[in-house]
Amino acid sequence: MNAISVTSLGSLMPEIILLIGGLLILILDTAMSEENDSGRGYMAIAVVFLLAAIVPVYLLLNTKPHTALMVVDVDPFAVFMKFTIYIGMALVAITGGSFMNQHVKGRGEFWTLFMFVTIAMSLAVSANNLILLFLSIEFLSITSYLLVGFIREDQRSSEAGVKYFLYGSVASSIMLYGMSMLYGATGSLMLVDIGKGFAANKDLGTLVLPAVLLVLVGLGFKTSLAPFHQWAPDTYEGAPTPVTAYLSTASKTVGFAVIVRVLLIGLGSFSHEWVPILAGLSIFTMTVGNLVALRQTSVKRTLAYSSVAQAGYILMGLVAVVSSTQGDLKTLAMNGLNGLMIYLFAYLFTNVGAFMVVMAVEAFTGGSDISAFENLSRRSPALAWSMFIFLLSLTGIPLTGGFMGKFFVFGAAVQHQYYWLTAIALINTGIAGFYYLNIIRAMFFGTSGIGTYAGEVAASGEGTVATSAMSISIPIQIGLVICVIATVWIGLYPPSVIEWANNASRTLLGLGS
Amino acid sequence: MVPLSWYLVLAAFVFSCGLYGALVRRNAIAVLMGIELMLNGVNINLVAFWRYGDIIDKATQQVVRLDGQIFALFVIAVAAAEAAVGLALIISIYRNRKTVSLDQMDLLKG
Repeated sequence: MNAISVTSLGSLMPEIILLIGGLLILILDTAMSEENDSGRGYMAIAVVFLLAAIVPVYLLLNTKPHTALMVVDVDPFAVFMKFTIYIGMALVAITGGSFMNQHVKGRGEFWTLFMFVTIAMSLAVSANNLILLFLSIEFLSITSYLLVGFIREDQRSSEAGVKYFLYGSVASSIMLYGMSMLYGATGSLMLVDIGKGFAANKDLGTLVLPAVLLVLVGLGFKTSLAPFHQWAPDTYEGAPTPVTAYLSTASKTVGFAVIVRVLLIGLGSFSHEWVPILAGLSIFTMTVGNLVALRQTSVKRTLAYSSVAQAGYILMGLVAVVSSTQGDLKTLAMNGLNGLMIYLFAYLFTNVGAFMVVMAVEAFTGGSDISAFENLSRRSPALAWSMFIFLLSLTGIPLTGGFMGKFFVFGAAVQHQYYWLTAIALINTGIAGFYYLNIIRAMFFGTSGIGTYAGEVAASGEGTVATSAMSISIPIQIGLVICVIATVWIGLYPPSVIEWANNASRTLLGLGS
Repeated sequence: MVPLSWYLVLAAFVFSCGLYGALVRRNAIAVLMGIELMLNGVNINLVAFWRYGDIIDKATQQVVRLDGQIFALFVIAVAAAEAAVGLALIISIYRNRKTVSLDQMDLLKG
């Protein structure tokens, strides 16, 4: 038992920086009057502090694993996830910031919550204790409920908020019941001690299955695994698009990080019990997500179901990770876990970018229906081409980040002889190609023509608006350029990112690097 | 002393009542009440496991661990925060729609 020390504060520097940023916005908010407050200052503070928090995270990337304040694990895995989360949130803040400033009342509150939700995610990925785990996940959830329903005047936003809240609270209560069973079985709240308790006493095996199922309800909700995904399409569609962007990427990253930590550290000795469950969930998730996405007409909703399907592919990484003996893993280039991390990293840029294109189109046409994307290439070639790259990456075409992720995850599954799982995933990738290509077709070879994309425009007889060029603001341009470059860059096998992921996954698996 | 299993049965019963309410009721407030009931079921579980666990130091006869209780306290605090946020969201939708019935929240579907 070591007390709070200055050195452990160094490991928490990213969270401390974010906390200062959040509180600064909160203080400034009380000093400013609502009328002459454009929110640009808050946005700038949020972006600066998010970028500032990336610096200590970067320095911690190759750190020796240690524990700060007894409950916060600072290991390469957690640091990699934090790195991913901060970059994602900074991108969302840069691109989506002006959209939010236009649409919400109480801008100071919005940006404060935005900073706090980042802190919550950051703590959740490094929690090694059930109390901190539950608290940070609840912190993340409760803040997200508010952000989803933040545009109170918009009925869709508040409906999305209520639905997210009700599904989310039920899921996290069920997860909590599972956690109480883990505590009861082993008498400890620390994940490491839970792991030791289960390893020492094989009689506890009967408890593992119900406990894992209950915990997976809550975490499956966060990562939108089927059958706990019903909230996702409604919430993604109704929420303000920047909030959707981070819910489908950063928040999902947290869910996977927590699943990995709980299952590998807490329940690693019973992997034969939960691997089949995960494999089943993975297949069900990708199939349901892709099949339902096929019949969507709204691009935002299509992307929501596509993000459900992507969660299924990502989960494959975890299915493959524990199924071999530990000695075997040392020589493998693909141990599953590194695939999961690379996938999440690539998926972040791709999906944030895709939702930002949707946001820009929405701002211009007032809707995210597929017809709003008709002939986008003529109205705004830049938007259409960046969307093109994001959709290729989501499909998993080589030379994009999405391919890299799929390559590592599918490769791990093949190496561990999960041929049937890989086959189903490949079929699903093919199905997914249909609806991604459908959006591309609409953007470049739209047939239904000019003026139909927004009913109002056609009705008011101003059909010519459709051919006029769409103007994109500079922050959105910057964000999109970063997302496009990162998506392509990850597709070119960047040694540094892969090395971080390898290092982090080996450390978490207890192999050393 | 009452055996541990009695507490666990009570906790499971309270939790199941809450889950049933949360899944079956169509009124958002009633669902919220079900969720609170679920959390209270978990609290009984946590405190019972704590009480029947290995908490007394043999040499000094003093309670050395409080983790289960602390967890239960945090759960109570989280439940309060959740109820506050939930009610705020429900009120905001009630102002727009004049209803809190989940069946009538049907703008988003497909």
